[in-house]
Amino acid sequence: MSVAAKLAQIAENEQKVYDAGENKGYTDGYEKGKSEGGDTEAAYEQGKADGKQAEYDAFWDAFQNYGEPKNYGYVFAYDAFTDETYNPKYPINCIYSQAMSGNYVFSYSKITNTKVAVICGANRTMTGTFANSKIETIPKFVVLETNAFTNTFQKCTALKNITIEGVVANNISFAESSLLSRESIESIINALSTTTSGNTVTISKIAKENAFTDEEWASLIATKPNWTISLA
Amino acid sequence: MKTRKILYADEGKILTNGEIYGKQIFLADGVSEYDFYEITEGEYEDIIAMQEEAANDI
Repeated sequence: MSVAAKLAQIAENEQKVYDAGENKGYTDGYEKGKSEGGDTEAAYEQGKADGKQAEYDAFWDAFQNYGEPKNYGYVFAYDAFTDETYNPKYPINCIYSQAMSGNYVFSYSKITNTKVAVICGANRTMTGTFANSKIETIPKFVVLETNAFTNTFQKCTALKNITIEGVVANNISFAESSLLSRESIESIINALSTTTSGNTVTISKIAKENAFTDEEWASLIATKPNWTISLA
Repeated sequence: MKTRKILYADEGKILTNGEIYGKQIFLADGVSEYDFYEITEGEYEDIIAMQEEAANDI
């Protein structure tokens, strides 16, 4: 066989492995890639990677309803997932039409980072959504003025980073989140509605004192005179 | 220039209006300091424990 023919055969074999891993797309894709890879380690690795990706897609597409809103009540609570197994493909998009959809989603979870946005369904009370969890980072918490927050962050003692998108128009508490960063506290205060009245935001006194001087704090909260601010 | 009323709890005490709790309360416009009173830290912890128990029953 000429060199050119050998190279063509190698390329054909690699393509076969790639196609096998891609077409199968499930656990046996690994073995298929391995068995048809021949002497080409790269072909085996490609087949394995493609099979793994296809398996990931199949699971999370089905589990998360292809990103459409769904009921996420208790879904990631307790020991259901770990940092290693929790790799969502889509935002946690809590459906508006079911009352429990945002309740206890990450309650008592050992997950430390939600990795994707958590989106509140319209008119929903987010009860215990992150309560008693080990969560340290919530990259984006998308809220609406129609959302209420009951024990949403209760005992979130590990929480350091949260970015709120939207408008908070009801009581919300981060009383036990003493590790909250300055940027996170700013995000919370900045998200507070400028038009509602009679509401309270609770921030950990320790977090506030670690992040702001008295003057900086006064300047920040001066933007929201319509909110009572409690330091717990 | 506007100022904001701040309530400070005494040592070992927590301020509350029956719904919210804190060691310092920065009052919103129109909120009266007379709505707030002090409870002991022990009483506060009991209240929180009851709230957690109620939440865990769900």
